[in-house]
Amino acid sequence: MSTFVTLVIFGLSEGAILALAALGFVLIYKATGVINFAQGEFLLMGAYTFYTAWVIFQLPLIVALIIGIVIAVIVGGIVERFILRPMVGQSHISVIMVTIGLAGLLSALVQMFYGTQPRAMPALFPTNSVSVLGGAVPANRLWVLLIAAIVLTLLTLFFQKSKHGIAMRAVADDQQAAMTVGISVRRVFAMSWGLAAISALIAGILLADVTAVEMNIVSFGLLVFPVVILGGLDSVPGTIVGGLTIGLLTAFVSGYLDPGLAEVIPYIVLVLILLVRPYGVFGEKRIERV
Amino acid sequence: MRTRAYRHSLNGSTMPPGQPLLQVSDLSLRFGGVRALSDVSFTVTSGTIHAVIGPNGAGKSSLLNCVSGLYKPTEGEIVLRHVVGETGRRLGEHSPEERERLATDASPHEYASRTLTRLSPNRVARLGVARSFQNIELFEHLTVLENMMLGRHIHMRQNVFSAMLWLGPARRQEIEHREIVEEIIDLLQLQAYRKKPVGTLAYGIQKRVELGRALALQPALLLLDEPMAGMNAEEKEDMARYILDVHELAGVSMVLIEHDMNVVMDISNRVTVLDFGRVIADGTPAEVMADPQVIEAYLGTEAVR
Repeated sequence: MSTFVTLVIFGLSEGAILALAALGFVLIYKATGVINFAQGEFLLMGAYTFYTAWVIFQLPLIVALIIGIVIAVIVGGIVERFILRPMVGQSHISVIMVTIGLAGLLSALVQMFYGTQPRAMPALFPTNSVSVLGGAVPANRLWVLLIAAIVLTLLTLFFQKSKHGIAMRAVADDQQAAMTVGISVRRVFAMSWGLAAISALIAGILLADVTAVEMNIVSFGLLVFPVVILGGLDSVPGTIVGGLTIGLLTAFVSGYLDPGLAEVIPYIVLVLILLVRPYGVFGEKRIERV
Repeated sequence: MRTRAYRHSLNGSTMPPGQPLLQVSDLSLRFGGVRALSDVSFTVTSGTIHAVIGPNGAGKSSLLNCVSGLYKPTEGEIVLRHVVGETGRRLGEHSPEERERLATDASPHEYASRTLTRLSPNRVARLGVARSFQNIELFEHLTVLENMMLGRHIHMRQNVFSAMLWLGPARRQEIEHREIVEEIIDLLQLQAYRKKPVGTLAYGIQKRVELGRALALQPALLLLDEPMAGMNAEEKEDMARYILDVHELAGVSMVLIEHDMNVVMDISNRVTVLDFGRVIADGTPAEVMADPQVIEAYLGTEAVR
């Protein structure tokens, strides 16, 4: 029982971080139709900018966070304006190749400045062990879960209730109609990239806190794909369910079966989902007629 | 120009009736070697329904797309006129009360105009030019209500954080916009479909929803691209009724593209006839009907003899 509780908390906390990372991916896909292979690198960049501001420059936590957000938004904006906007009207494959190139560029930039050695970051949250229902759980896992839950809720509310969120949904639905009711499609695109970068930043910081500031964050970011395929590429609730499912599954496989298998299991799920229900559990079923 | 007990004016124009509202001058549009429009000039008078008719491929939709900013004309200019208020505010920035006062005020005004030709579609919409499309462009996955609320987008002032937390000001604003949308739902008799996703509705209803969404912008000018295309006689009659209601009850000026001559003659105040991208006639419905060139374009030369 105690192992079970510990695994659940580990799984949920990692799943919540995954959901945050995946939410950024889904926002971009929904609004702009771009499949962003560089989402993991956005996490990496977020973790490193925060690390730089907080640890290297010794800035207060809040200031470091704000700097992280500002830089994330700027980078998201630059990527949209100078890399993806010129690609409008190009084939899907070209756009995907561009984001793969962007992924390589971003991780190379990080390596260039920081090297490949993992950096230890002082703990953001207390790391003492807490007993939950008989299981021993590090307190920081609970904090991560809480913060991720708050951010996910705020972003979901923003997407569903606010003027800008609704404008994003409108653009996702019909760009021409969106323009004729006065929505600036460009601004919506820029906003989705900015928001995606912010959610990646927060996911990156949380991940760095429970692990370390290192290049492995990218491979964690790759888990976004099983999550969004499971949840459906265009579903916000789907990413949350998908993230938590993949997080729990990995934790259980790692705890009860084999840690090595745990690395592979999300991708086995990915393949199975693609075979059985390619539009995801919550995704919209699209039938392409040719 | 409110004749029924509606709380809100849906007409977003400050131009008093009878004044020129939209001026199209020497408009030309070329796609490569194809001349879609050649030296098209006409004026839409405030408070009228102005029909644009012509055979298939005459350039009617291209003309409308130029006005709404989707196409950039090769030459020529499109200008939307408005009244300069004492506050010195620009077009699209007047409050509804101010707009109505300006529009009903008989004293001489100072007029100004805004060139639409080089603006993006969303900027044109912000200046108060709303439109519908020939092949319905609605947000299919959203409900009728959400579609119409999106028509209010340009009028929403919102702080990201209060919106996120659904705080007082955001909520109050939402209620105000909702009231206007409800008036439109009432005007177009869409009460039964409020919560239905638009994609599931019948064609004729979708056409009406699109009209409603355009109206939700409180437009200075409404552009309707074949609002009755693909409808049977009865549906056409209904739609014509709604269009007349929008015109008479809400006082909105309109440019209307339509194929059906009978409908055009019945509801429009003025008609511009296009053929092969040129204006071949412009006048009242009766004048246009009697014009030999129009008869030729519609029925062929044989009929004239």
